[in-house]
Amino acid sequence: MTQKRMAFLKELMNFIGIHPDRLNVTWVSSSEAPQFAEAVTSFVNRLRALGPSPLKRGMAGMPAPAMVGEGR
Amino acid sequence: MNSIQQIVHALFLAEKIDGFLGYRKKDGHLLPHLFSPENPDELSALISDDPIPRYPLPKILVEISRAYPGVRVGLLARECDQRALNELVKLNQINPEKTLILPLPCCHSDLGEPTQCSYLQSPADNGCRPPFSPGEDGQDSARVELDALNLEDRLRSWKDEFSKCMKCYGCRNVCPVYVCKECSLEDEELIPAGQIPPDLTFHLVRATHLAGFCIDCGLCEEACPAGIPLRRFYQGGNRIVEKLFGYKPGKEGDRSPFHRLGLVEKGNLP
Repeated sequence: MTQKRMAFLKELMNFIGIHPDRLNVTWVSSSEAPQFAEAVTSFVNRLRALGPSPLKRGMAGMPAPAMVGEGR
Repeated sequence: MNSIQQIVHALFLAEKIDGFLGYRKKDGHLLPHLFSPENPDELSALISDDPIPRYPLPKILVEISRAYPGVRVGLLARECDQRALNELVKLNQINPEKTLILPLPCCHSDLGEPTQCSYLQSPADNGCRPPFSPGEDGQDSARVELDALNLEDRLRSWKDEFSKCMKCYGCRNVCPVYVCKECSLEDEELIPAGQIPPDLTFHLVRATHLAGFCIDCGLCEEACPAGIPLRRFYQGGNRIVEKLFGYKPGKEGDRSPFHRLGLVEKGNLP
């Protein structure tokens, strides 16, 4: 199910305009520390190359959300 | 009595059904109504000529069968309703043996006789319109344009649309395949109360949960007071499911690749 969902979510991200590489899944057992470190490091490097998330508040032309009554 | 009224009357007389879900006019409004054999006189109010309104009757049927397990109900069903019923059967929400469908013709599609919607075969033939403005190739031209944008512009376009959202939950509430007893959209951690417009999360949760289940009836888009092109949005999710898994919701039999036991609690089926 996870594999199916990941394949779907990457496509959905692309559909809505978020780089699919921002999502990653790696299967690592608890005894595989080096593999885990490698997976995280390479993912972080990939994210750095992609730059800040377009979903960060206030970016990409969308007004920052406000609570009702905050006087927007 | 006209033909539909006669059919229902005959079904009542033969004790085939305990109730019939259709539409009637009440205080000037065309509304869904459960007709019962106890009040046969009401049948003369059963609407069977255009304009026949469109409400999620299958969803009302789920409510009825939860409240009255084992009840046999007939209902007026357009093709979109029939697709919804098929999905609800797969989700264990409706007992097909207790459900009698009176098909309501719309336009022609590949799923059956006269019907309507995005499952249309040849929109031009019979005066039916597809649910979008088609380009030369018959595709949804706005969607084709959207697909051609780069990631950044596509995200901006969707964000513009969703910035109109006032989080009324109309899209969810009218959805015929939304029958969950708990909803992520009511999770305070995920969707903080009072925040308007909601984060993109709100819409992505819906897109994710509907992919492989949405029967593209378009009621969400009709219900949306902000005019967000929700139909195009959820069609996007379904297109992905079709591309990856070759599955299209709405037919009998095959289940969604995302179907899993426990997703929806079994309804009160007899």
